[in-house]
Amino acid sequence: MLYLKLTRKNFLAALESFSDYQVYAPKRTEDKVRLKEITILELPENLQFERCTHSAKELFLPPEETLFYFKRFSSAQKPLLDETKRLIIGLRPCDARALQVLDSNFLQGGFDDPYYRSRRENSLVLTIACREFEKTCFCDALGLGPDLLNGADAIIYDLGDQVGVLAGNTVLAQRLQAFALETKEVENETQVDRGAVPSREVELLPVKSPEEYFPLIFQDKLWEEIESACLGCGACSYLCPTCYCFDITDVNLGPVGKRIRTYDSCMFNMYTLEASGHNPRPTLKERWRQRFMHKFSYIPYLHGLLGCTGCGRCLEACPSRIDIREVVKYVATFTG
Amino acid sequence: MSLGEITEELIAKGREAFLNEGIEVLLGFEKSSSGFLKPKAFFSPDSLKTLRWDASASTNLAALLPKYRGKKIGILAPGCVSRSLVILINEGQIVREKLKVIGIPCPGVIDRRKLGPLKNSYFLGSKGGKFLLESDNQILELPLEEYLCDCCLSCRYPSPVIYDYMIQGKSREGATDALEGRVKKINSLSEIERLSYFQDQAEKCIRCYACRQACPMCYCESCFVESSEPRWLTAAPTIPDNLIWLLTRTYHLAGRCVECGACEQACPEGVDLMSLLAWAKQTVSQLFNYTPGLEIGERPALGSFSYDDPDFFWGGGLTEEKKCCT
Repeated sequence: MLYLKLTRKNFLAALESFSDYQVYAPKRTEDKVRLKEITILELPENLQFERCTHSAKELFLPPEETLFYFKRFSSAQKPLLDETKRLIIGLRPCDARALQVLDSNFLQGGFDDPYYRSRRENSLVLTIACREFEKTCFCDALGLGPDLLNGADAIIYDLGDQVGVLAGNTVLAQRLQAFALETKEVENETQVDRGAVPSREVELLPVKSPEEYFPLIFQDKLWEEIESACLGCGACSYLCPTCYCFDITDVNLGPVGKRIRTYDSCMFNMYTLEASGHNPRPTLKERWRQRFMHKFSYIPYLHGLLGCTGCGRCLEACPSRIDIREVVKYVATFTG
Repeated sequence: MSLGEITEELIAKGREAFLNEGIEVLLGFEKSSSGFLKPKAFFSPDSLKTLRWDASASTNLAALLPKYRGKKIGILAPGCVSRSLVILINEGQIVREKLKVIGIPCPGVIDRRKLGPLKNSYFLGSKGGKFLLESDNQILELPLEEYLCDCCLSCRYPSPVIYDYMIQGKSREGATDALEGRVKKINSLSEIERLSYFQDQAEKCIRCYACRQACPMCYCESCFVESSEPRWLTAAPTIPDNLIWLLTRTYHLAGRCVECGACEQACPEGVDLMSLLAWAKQTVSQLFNYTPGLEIGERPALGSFSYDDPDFFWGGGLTEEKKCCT
């Protein structure tokens, strides 16, 4: 990892060399902040961005993506890969962390998803260190932090009139180097000047090891209690940066058709419904078990990292105001 | 009426329903981590300690009924929830005898959307036309009236229409035209402007179906959006498909919606759902002179017909013998 200090002006000038990239940054419309395409010249000079209300997932796993088009009597369709080069700036460390979770499933889990891979490999992700905690943030309660690189290509620290950039991506680091005031080879975030990083007294959430959660699969009472407030909508999963379950359907366009991939949610009654009519997860009890165990047990068990990043979007979106932190605590104290 | 009193009364009535009436579950609210109330199913009289009701109770509890199908259920019901229950009874979804309704004279509930950036503050409670929020170590005292849902502002039936127990108190008085005003505003737009307004709404929609799940009238086990034969719309949240969703939903709720506003409160994206529903309600009310959910036993406006109907029907002139399907 290379740590560089640059003036803001030089940093923006360095970014201009990415003229062949589409630039995405958080942009506010009414009360929502979403990643929108902008030009490098439109980037705010102070390099401050609001936190996205929708996660970065929408650029890597779009709500609708066409996998391929097909015709009658013809086979072997070529996948439609999105190879647009994108520079995404202004995400937060938790968003970068979420991409690590998605990577673990789509790139490293034994199944290689060409659609996701193409988007991921053609994107540069530049995060900014958070300057304060939002009311719903809890990355620190999961042992993560608002100043971590988390596998992003670079993280930008605000140092007053300068910026500190910790670059994990060597190509990016090289391009920035020409503009840098000083550079330093480092191993982790603690060795660099991170400016005013927010910190607070926080109680770590009692997250157990993946195996410790396994026996809870059979505790019906626990899941019944948890789901009792849930209405069964997909707001939490759709806004979650790491929920990646999808559905594949065909759309009839007359002489041709297209196969599309859209979001699915474990909260829906169509989720895992089998053609026979049987559903192994017939009620919200089983669905909540799936949601919780997937994030806190199965993903950690399979890939070695927590499925929750502490971004707090589900807390904000939930119509029933279910707080996943409370659920984690409740599960930890449950004795049967 | 102070908050402590209504809480004690609620818990006492809840206990009574468990012990004397033998309910198996009580649908109520408890405080969430943000202080705003969240729905909760209570399974025993001893668990009722956390039972609450205040101006932040924006979920229509009748939407949770399908989860406990077949059980004897107690439920907290302000006016709109009681009307939802009446419709569910009239539509054959629940049996009156299996319900114990704890009626609440409703002073109105807070609109999450009107809170704007304050929506993530901690809700301390409401008292006498005011409510308290804690934000950044400051306590804000805000006037309830300014933050009430449009649905509550224009609510004509804030007191329960059916109940077994009644909590003491006064319902909100002086319904305004907040909802009607929204419909009027949309009606005053030109066709193009109206189309673009609803396209903007459809663009916001992510099709998480929070509106459907929050609605007590959306009890279908299989929704039309999930049908693959025929496929009415694709699963992709595009503007045309979202419009099909929003409009078909409105049609399915015409003459059934009690305007509780739970869908709008549930929507994480701020889609204007109530303008459509209020428009449908006005239309049904004008055509059939019908207000849903007021009386047990009444037939739904769009689920009944009358031989005196002035409109052309079945070619007209039915003979006495053919009147077989009353």
